[in-house]
Amino acid sequence: MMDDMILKSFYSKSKMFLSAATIITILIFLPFIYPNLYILSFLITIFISTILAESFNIFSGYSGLVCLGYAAFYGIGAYASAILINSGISPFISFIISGVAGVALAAFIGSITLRLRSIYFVMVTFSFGEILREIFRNWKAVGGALGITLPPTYTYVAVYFVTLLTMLTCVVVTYKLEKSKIGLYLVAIRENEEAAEALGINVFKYRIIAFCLSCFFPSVTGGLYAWWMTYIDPPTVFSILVSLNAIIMTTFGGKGTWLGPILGTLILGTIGEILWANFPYAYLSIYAVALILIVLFLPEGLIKPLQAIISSASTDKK
Amino acid sequence: MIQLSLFLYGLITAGIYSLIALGFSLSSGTLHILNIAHGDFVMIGAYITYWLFTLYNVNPLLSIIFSFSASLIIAFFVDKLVINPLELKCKNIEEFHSVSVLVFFALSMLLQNMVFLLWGANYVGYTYLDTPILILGVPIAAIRLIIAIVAYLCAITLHLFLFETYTGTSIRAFSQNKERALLIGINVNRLRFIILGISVALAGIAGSLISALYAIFPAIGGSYLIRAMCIAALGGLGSMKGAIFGSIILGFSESFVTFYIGSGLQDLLAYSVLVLILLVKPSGLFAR
Repeated sequence: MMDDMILKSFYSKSKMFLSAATIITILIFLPFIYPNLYILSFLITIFISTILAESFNIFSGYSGLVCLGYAAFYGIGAYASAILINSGISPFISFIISGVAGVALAAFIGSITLRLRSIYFVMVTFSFGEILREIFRNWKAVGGALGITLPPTYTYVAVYFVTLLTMLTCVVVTYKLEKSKIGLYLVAIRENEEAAEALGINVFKYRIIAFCLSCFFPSVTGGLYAWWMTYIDPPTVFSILVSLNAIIMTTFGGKGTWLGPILGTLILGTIGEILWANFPYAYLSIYAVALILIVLFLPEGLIKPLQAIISSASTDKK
Repeated sequence: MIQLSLFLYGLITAGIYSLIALGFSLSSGTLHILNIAHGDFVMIGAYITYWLFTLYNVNPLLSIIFSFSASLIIAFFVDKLVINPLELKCKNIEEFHSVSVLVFFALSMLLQNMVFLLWGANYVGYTYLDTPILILGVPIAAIRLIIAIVAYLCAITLHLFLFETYTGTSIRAFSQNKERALLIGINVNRLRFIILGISVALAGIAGSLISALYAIFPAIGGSYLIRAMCIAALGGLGSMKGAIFGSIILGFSESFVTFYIGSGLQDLLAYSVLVLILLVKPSGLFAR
């Protein structure tokens, strides 16, 4: 909401679209100009993290409830795609089917959990991911603890473009949602649930819509991950880190804004990569301390000070 | 005969679980924080005990004191440096929930990584007092028996502390109504440290006990966190009686499920119980 108003005053809308178009064009031509496998795979992981962070934002940023269960949808998507691709179905169709399967699961989980109080909701969504991990670990028909191997049927450039496309779709959906009535309803519910309900907003209905929408993209991304990695096993795809990374990056960037998760993923993803390359053992400690400092000093995310800087710069000009 | 030994083993497991779950239930029920790092405090206690035993030959039961004090020190820093400033910054309780989850997750990463850097990622363990004793005809290692006794003693001490002392009474008042507790002059800042300290210290004690029973490695925290969450939900967040009953239920069902169905399903059992309870009766089975 806010960042957009300031972006309007400073940049004006046409300039914003121009810069977005420039970035997208650079991203499209990058694999042809500079076909470096390391850069490409780094960008693919950044895209995947952006999708997860933005999906977390769609539900939690606008509705205020914290869902710790995106690993469940990521894993379900990965397994659905892996099984479908192995049985000879085109990867692109299986991604869509993964997404639909994720939404179906979200509708089921959401319909029974979204009425709970916030602390119970966190606990239930957290355990759904872990339950699915345990089920898949003990389920011999889908590989059990050994996981599934897929045939390598892709090129890096293909994976790059499919993830880029999914990420752009996800960002556009979030942007549109923020501008739509549903987005406004969700913000109203987040700010004051009782007041929103008194105004005639069906709290449960809009929460479940947001929840299903936010679970579509992680499921598709799980499928993409399986296709890219050609090997999945329960501890990796149902890892709680999938959910938590999304939360961390969104919180760092700024919850409840479409730009926040992108900023968060870009900055934290790059810092994480540098730390990972230089301090392979102490990496997690540094990351954890940084996270605590961020939460303490920037609880509203990076977008707030950025807005302040931009708005002060624009007033100076006038 | 088999049933009897399963029963006794269930009782011992329940003792350890109750220590972990009591702390978790206390902190989540009264402070309204979801301590994701709870299992990692268990791990810290276990490593301190293992380290003292292998390097300086300190009796594992004696090192309960060391893991207790180490946990208290960590709790002090966590409370003063993180939780207190965070609570001042957050506008409402929902925001505090979501950011405290983040902070405790970061703490969990930090603790696991520090232990990994200090002691490596291998499974380690030691044996101490494992001569079998016959109880009702069931052979049980002496250490298991001692551990069960220590665990239940700690649980009873906590109960006495909460119900017989002034501080304990104010903790209960605080858990029932925070604003009114403030109004009648309870020092909430001091109380928060005490609650967090007790919660974490109990986890540390449980860690000391666990290190004598099972092999330990830096990532054991997760499975204990799950059990703590499951038991706390079974009994109702913040209910001490509920936590004890919950751990007895989980301890027994785990020992029977492991014997009759298989050990791969232990975690699944805990999670399924947790979800079922939260969906059917979120306030817990023993809520008033």
